Amino acid sequence: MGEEHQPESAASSGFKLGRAWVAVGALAVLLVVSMWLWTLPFQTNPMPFGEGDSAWHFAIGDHISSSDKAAYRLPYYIGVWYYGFNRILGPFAPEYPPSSHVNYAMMQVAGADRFVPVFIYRAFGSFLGVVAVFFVVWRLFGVLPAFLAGLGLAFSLREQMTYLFGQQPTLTAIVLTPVASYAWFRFLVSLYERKVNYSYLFAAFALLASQFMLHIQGFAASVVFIGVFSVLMAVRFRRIPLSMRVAVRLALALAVLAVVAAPFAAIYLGAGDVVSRSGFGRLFEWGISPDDVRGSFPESFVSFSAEYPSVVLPFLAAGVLLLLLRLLLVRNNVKELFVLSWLVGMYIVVHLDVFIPTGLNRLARMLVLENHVFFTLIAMSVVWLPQTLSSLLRFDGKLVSAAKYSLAAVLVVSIVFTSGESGSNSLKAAYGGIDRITPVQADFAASYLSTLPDDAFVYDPSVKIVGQWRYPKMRWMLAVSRRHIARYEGGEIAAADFIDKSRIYFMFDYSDIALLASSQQYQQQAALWAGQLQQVEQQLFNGTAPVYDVNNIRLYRYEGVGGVPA
Amino acid sequence: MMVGFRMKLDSAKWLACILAVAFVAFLLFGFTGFRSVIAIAVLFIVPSWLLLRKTGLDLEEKMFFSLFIGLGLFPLLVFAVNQLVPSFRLSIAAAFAAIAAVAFSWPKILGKLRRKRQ
Repeated sequence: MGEEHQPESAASSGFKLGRAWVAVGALAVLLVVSMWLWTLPFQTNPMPFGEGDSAWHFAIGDHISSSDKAAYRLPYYIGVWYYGFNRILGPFAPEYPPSSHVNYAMMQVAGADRFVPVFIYRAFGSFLGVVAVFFVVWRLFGVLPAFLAGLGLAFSLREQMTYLFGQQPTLTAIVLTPVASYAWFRFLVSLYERKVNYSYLFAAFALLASQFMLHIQGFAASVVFIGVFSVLMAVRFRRIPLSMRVAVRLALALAVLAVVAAPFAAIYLGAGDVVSRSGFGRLFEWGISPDDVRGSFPESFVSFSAEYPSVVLPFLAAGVLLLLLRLLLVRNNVKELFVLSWLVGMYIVVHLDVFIPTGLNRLARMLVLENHVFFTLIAMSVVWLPQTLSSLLRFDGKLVSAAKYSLAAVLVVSIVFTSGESGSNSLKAAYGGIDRITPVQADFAASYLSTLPDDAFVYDPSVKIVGQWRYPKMRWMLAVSRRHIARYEGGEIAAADFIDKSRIYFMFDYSDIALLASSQQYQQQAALWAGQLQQVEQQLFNGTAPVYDVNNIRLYRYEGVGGVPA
Repeated sequence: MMVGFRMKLDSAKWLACILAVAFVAFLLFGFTGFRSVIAIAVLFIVPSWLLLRKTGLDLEEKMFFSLFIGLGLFPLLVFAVNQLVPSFRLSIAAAFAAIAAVAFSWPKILGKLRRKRQ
C-alpha cells in the first residue's frame, strides 16, 4: 500500500485533461437535478415562502434594488424588526455584512423580476454544497466519489430545511468551507514539497474573506479546518516549513484580510445573540440534542437517522474504518489527512460551545458540515473498499473496477429511493396552501400597505390567536409592502420610543380563517379563531370605520384608545 | 497554440454546463429563469475569473474558486462603489469595469516593473 512517498501535488493528483468531459457531465447532471429539485417550492406557486428569516433577508436586498442605493443603515421598516440588536452600532445597524443582500438586489436587477431571480439565487446558494464538495472530492479522489457525494448532498434533508427556513446566507457561507480548506491544502502541500505556489495561499485568503462577508460561521469553520490540517501536517512530517519569504506573504495575506474585514467586524462583535458555554460533558455527544434547539429547529434537523437513511450507514461505517486504515497503511496519506482534518474540524466546530460562549441555535447550522464530510466518506467507501481489498488480497484489476461500479450503483439507488424520494416530496409540499402568503394578502400588501407612511407601524393581533404559522406570512407582508408589521400580543400599544403614535395601524386579516372555514374539517376551529379575533377588533375599534376593508382583511388607523389585556 | 486551443475547448465544456442549467431554468421559469442563471454566472464567476486568469491555478480551480470568491467579494465591491456612485445599478457596471481594468492592466504593469528591475 505504499503508493507514493511525497505529499500529493496538483500536477500529480491523477487529474487528466481528457477526463474533464466526464467531470463536466457529472456536474451538469448534479446541477440539473438540484436546480429542478430545490426550485420545487416555487415552480407552481410563485408567492414567496420561508420563515421570518427568509422575509428579513429578502426585505434588505429588495430595499437596495428598489431604492437604487446600498445604504449601510437599515430603513425603518426593517430596522425596527430587531431594534437595537447590535450593542456597538446601535439601532438600525445591519446584522450581516452587505454581500448576501447586495447579491439579492443584483439578482433582482439582472433577472428583471422581484421574486423569481432571488429565489433561484437562494436555491442555488443553498445547494452550492453539492458544487463545493463535488469540486473538492473530484480534485482529490476522482469523478465517481465526487458525483456520489454530490448526489447525497443534493438530497440532504438538513440543507433543504436550512434553505426552506430562509437561512441561506449562513448555508452559503458554510458550504464554502471545503473549498477554502482545499485551497489551503494545496498551498500547504506545495510548501512541504518545496514547490511553493502562492496562488493557493491568496485563493485561500480570498475565500476566507468571501466567507466573512457572507456569514461569520462559515469563516470560523474554515479557520478551524485550516488550523487542524496545518497541525496534522506538522505532526505527520515532523516539521513546519515556514521560511521568512513564506512568513512575509502569509502576513501580507492576513493584513489584506484584516483590512477587508475590519469595517464590518463590529457587526459581528456587537451582535446581541444569547450565548452560553456548555460543560465538557457535551464533548461526549456527537451532534446537538433536539432539546437544545427546541422551538428553533424541528427534531429531524439535528437527528442523525433523519439525515442518513439506514441503507447508507454501512457505507459510512466502511468509509470511516477505511479512512483510519489508510491513514495507517498508505505512506503518502496527505489526502486522507485532509479528510481526517475535515472530520476533526467538524467535531470541534459543532462543539465550539464547550470552548467559547456560543448560541446552540446558531451552532446547529454547522451540522451541515457533518453532511459534507459524511457524504464524502460514504462516497469514498465505494472507491476505497475495492482498492484496499485489492492491495491486501491482490485482486484482479477488472474485478476491482466491477466491484467499485457495482457498489456505486447500489449507493445511487439507495440514495435516490430514500433521501431523494422523501426530499422531493417535502420540497414539493413546502409552504403549501395558507402556510404561504396568499395572492390576496400579497395584493393587499403591495397595493395598499405600501402606500402608508414610511414609518408606519402595523400591528397584527392574529399570530397570538391562530398560532405561529401565521408569523412568517405576516413578515412576508412586511417585505412585500415595505412597511413594518409586528405581532400584537395585547397590552400597551406604542410602548417603544421608535414608534410614532400617529402612525400606528391595526390589521385584522380574516382571509386565512375564511379559507380554512371552507373546509369541513377546520370549520369549528376557524369559527373559534374568527370569534377571538373579532373580540379584539371590537375592543379596540368598536364603532370606528376601517381605512381598508377588502377580501376579509381590515385595516384601522389607531387613534390612541387603549389596548387589550396581554 | 495547441495548449491555447485545449484551454478554449475546456472552457467551452464548462460554458456548456452553465448553458444546460440555464436551459433547465428556462423550461421551469421562462426567460426570467434563463436570465437568472446567466446572471449568477456573469456576476459571480466572471469578475473573480478576470483576476485569477493569470495565476498559477489550473482552469477548473480558477473557475470554481472564482464562483466562491465572487459570491462574497464582488457584492462587497459593488457596495463600496455604491458609496461613491449614486446609483446601485450603475455601481454594478462600475465595479465590473474596475475589475476588468485592473485584471487587464496589472499583468502589463507587473511586466514593466520586472523589465525595469532587470
